[in-house]
Amino acid sequence: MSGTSRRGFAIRVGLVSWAALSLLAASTLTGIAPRLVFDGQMALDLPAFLLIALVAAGSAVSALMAAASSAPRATPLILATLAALTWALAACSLDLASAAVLWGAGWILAAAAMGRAGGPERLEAAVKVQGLGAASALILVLGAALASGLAGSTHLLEAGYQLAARPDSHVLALASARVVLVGIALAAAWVPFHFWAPDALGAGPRPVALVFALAAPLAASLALARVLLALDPTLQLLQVNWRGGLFAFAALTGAVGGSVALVQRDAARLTAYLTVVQCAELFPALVAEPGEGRLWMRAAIAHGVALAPAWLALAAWSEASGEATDWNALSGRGRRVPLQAFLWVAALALAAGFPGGVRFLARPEMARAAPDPWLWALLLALSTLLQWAAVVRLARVLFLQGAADWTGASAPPSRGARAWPAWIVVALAIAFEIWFALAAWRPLFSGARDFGLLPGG
Amino acid sequence: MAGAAKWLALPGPGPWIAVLAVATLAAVVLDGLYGAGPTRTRASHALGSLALGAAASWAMFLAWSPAPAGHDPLLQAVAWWLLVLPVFALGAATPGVEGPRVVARLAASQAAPAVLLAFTPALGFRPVGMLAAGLVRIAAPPLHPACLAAAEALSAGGLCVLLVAGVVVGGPLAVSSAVALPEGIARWLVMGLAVAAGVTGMAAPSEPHLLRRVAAWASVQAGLAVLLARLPESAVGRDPAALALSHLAASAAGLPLLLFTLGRVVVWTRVADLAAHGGLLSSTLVRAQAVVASALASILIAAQAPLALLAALLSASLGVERVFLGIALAGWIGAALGLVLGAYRMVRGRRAAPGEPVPELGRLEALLTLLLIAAAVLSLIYPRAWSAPPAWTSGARASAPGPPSLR
Repeated sequence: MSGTSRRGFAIRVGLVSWAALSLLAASTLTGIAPRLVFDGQMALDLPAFLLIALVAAGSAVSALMAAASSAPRATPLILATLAALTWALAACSLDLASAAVLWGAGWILAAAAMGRAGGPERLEAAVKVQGLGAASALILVLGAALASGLAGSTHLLEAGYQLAARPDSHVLALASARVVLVGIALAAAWVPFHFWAPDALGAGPRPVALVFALAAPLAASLALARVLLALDPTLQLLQVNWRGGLFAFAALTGAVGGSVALVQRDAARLTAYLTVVQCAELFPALVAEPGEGRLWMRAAIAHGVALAPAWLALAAWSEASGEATDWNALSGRGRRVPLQAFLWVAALALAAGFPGGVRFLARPEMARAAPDPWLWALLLALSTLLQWAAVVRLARVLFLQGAADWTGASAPPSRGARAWPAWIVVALAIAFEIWFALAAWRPLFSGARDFGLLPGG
Repeated sequence: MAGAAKWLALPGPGPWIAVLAVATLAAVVLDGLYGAGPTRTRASHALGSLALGAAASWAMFLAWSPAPAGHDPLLQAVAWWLLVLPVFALGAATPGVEGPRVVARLAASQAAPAVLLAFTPALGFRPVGMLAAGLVRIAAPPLHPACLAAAEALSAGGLCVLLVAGVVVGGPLAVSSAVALPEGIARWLVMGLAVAAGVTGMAAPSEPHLLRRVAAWASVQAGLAVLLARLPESAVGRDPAALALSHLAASAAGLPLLLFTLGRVVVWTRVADLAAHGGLLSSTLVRAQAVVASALASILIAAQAPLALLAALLSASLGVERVFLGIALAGWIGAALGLVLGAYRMVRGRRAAPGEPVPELGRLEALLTLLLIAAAVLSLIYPRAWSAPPAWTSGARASAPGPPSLR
């Protein structure tokens, strides 16, 4: 099936955006949205708005990148954006049952986005996304059911209060918390629940992958932050070392994801695994202090700003320029298109923590804010080195391997000249990240104002 | 002029940068003028060495800068990160498969100390964190395998700048941090470094690769320098921190001499395996004397370490630690033996196969060799020239502004 024209793409995206904004305005004016907030069913606080804003920004940038490709497809991107917004709403929902339904709906939309993109690899990824997404939703429903049985309510705040007040159900209380954690971990692609991510992110269309890479871990981490805040009294009463549990998740994700990234022979899957590793860097914001939204917001912005250039560069390389991403095709390719290859490697290097990137500043700060700075510093340092080694490996393949001469018929064709809009977007994204790291990172959300996570915490 | 005078003032960054400059000069001459391969390859090696020297100089300059630049570990981590780029270029410029194969390992190993340094604010600027960054930077045993891999992959000139840059950039930090360590941890540090340096040094004579022997020698000296910093003053008879910095600087100053003289032979034979070097210098009298002199001079100017270890061994103020100091001393002797035996084999060993003799030492080579000997000797006889950046001493760190608060 051939892609739509750029004009058709722009029209579709524009129509859907107009419809979404209209829906939002209507729900606000008719009082539906405010009622959800004031009834305590949704937490539309600053972290929630930030999440929605990041998803919207990611979708907008992805749309720009998709428009720069030779055959832009609107439907997968629209479906992916809807999935991301659904996940964002799930993260804002204070009712466990509603959140499970929203997560499930989001996974269905995500699978549809993958399937609509076409191709056997993407269909396989769509099946995997659908299966794991359904598992995630079912597990969250189970968690909601346990909470309802124990606490008599699926509302997060009420359940948290009731579970703390009923010390005779420790085992089930802990079980319900663990079940919810597993459901969220599936969504966030934390090892060992990450199996949807390499295929969905690696094989899917790059604009869609960027939206998923941004939305899924951010929404899941925000949801987990709210759950931890609500259940904090229960967890303290039961003397559960939940911070240790989250550290184990982070360590597994960083170590396993980083190690597997090192042995990849395809740049798209390498970027997917690097994204999985970077999802673990949201954990320090969760363990610092329950209810503290400031750290989560800083971590979320760092995640988004650092991730976008890497996926944009991959999209520019593979979709806009039509270059292959497996090692055999990449071998020595950087010598033929040095500027594009340099931008690509630079984007990945900044995401890995090279100075100039926002992660270079964010990681020490996150480690310092955690209760055990030594452990988190060690983990984040290891994560940095694994990611850096993977980036250097890609640079080696691009610039140092392969035949010395690429001339005449032996050189594969490149659409490099026609893909210049895509590379301009990449260069702008890199420049923005560097500016953000140098000028905007330190004063971001600083000051004495409280950024709590739950209303009336 | 005032700025330049301040730069050259002792103590300060001037002496360290002078050592680095000498190493860079030796590397550029060795790779650019006498290197193997076409002009383009030699030029790229020389430029890579020059870039690495410049980057390391900037890191030194930054470390000695007054606040806030000199007190900002993130800014210094940036300077350490930038060392990765010329190392990548040096590895990339190495012909054959060795360069690309090892370049990822080199780039990762050069990034590791920068990453550790960047996390020191998160750890409250505790000396353990800074010590870890310093030890990785100077490739102290047992953190030296990447340094041995570099010896196999890089040219002799590139290896020279890499080793010297690592020592001058990370050495003062490692020594300052070791001095600031609490007693309990310091004891374990001394024992661990002693065993590691001992094993590395005793394994050095069995190393068939000539440049790996030199890298092992450098690594042992770096480890011993940090160990010396924690010996009691009553045992060694002088300020241990000053002794450590002086030994570090002297060892670093000896490396260009060693690598220049040996590197010329390696470049001519195109292999670094000692089996191919046996008796190679038997008919070139001046060059043979230069090789022997460089090996002996490097060992002599690094003699502060074994003398201090011996004094500590004989001191009554130490208990079971003396066993470990004995192991460290054995390591130093082993590493020194590795250099001496290697030089001896090149001069008096049996030729594996008949062939063309190495050309005699030229005028430029002789002049440069003499200059390198003089630089090495100067580094030894002016021990007060060597100091650590004020920002890395514990007093300055305590008064340094912390990272911005989130609240």
